Parts: sequence; structure tokens; C-alpha cells
Amino acid sequence: MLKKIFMIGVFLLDAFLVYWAVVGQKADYMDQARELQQKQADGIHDWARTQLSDAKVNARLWQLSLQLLDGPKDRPSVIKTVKGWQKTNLPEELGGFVQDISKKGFDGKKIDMWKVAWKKNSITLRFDEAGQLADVDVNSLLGRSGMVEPVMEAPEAEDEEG
Amino acid sequence: MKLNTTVGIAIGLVVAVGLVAALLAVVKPSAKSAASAWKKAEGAKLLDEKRDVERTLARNNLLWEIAVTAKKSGPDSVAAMEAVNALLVVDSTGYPKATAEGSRITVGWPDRAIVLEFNNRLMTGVDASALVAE
Repeated sequence: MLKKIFMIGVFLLDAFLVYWAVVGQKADYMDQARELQQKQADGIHDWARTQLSDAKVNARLWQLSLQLLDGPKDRPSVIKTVKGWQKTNLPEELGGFVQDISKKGFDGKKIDMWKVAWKKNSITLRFDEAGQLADVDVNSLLGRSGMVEPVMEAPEAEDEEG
Repeated sequence: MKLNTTVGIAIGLVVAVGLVAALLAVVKPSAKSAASAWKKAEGAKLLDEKRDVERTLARNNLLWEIAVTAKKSGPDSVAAMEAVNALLVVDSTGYPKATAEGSRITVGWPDRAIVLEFNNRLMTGVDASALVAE
């Protein structure tokens, strides 16, 4: 009797092994693959959403660039336009800001620059000595550089003779 | 009867060992490779999605850059178009391209383009609204 029960047990084991081999293994690997796929899909969809949404905000900076290139070029008008524009288009809640990033060049002269930005994306406005808008730098929006550094040549070494 | 039961148990055990061996040698690798093939195909779809987004962003950026560069180089139409052409690198699909129609030049792809407007050899405007509408 015991042997019979054992024999039935062995046959049941066989049946389970057949099931495990044919169905269980495939299902296990497929589950793992699906889980990984889902994780990657979520990651890519999140990334895409962020990129496209960032691009929409960047589009506002691009539009501002076009607007500034079209409008008056004198410093007070440009800054007024930019500050007014920032309040409605890139408010602080979005991380937007306008900042004076002027600095002194090697020659001691002021390099008049302003930055309009949100997150790490920005455009940089550079004014010439006459206070006219000389350039709107959009390299940051193109991912080419975080900040615009104006070309500033070091003063030539003074002749020590005499 | 006793002999039959013993033989049955023996056969059952042999079959069990055989199944385990078959599982390790054939079924497991084949299940793994089937899942791997499925993952590869689905992964390729995801990569395509990612490339689509990257392509969209790259095209947008290029068109914005063209718009701003044209504006900076203008209003002289020759200078503006020289700047535009310098940025237009046509790929194997024949795009992006500049198509003239009357006093307007459309630059970009069929589904994504900016319009440069000219009058008397001067560039009078850049319409980039298609890039904002998305």
C-alpha cells in the first residue's frame, strides 16, 4: 500500500516537473522580462515627458530672443521688456529669473551682461559700451554651454625695456 | 503486483530525473532565449520612442537656432539666407529644406517648419509659431 502511494507520488512529481518545465520556466522568464520592460518604459516615458515639457518652456526663451532681436536695442528698454516678460512667462514659481551678470574684463571695463533663465536653461544678453544690445546668446538652450563667456584677451605683456 | 509497483516507482523516478535533466539542458535555455527575444523586440520599440523624442527636440532646436540666426544676420535677405543655408544640413531624406513660395521661405520638415518672410530684399519676419503650438 505504501509503495502504491509512493508510486502515485512519483507520478505526481513527474507531472509537476512537466508543468514546471513547459509552463513555469517560460512564465518565470517572461515575468522577469516584462518587469524589466515596464521599468524601462516608465523611465523612458518620464524622461520624454520631462524633455518635451522643458522644451515647451525653452520655447518661451527662444521666442523672447526673437522678440528682443526685433525690438528696441537700448539697455533700459531691453531690461524693462525682459523683466516684464519674465513676470508673466517665466515666473519664479517656474524657477525663472532675470539676473545682472555683468563683470569686469581684463582691461577693467565692465562687460554688461544679463541672464534670463529657468532651471539650467538660459539666454544671455550682452550690451556694448554704448548700452545697445550687442548679442543674444542662445547656446545654453542648444546645450552647447552653460554660460556665455565673452572673449576677453589678456593684455599684452608690457615691454620691460626702457 | 508488487513487482509492477516497484517498476512503476522506478520508471517514475527515472522520468523525474530525465525531466530535470531536460529542464536544465533544453527547456530552461529555450525559455530564457524566448523571453530575451521578446525583451529585445520590446526594447527596440522603446528605443524608437526615445529616438523619436530626441529627433523632435533636435529638429525644434535646429529650427529655433535658424530663426534666431536669420534674425541676427538680417534684415538683409542675402545675409539672412546665407546664415540659414549654413545651418541647413540635408540628410538622406532630403530634409530639412528651404522652400520658397512667393515672398515666404519655409524652412524645415513637412510636419515642422518655420517661415521666413521677405519684402524688398529684406527679411521682415520669422514665424516660428509651429514650434510653439505643440
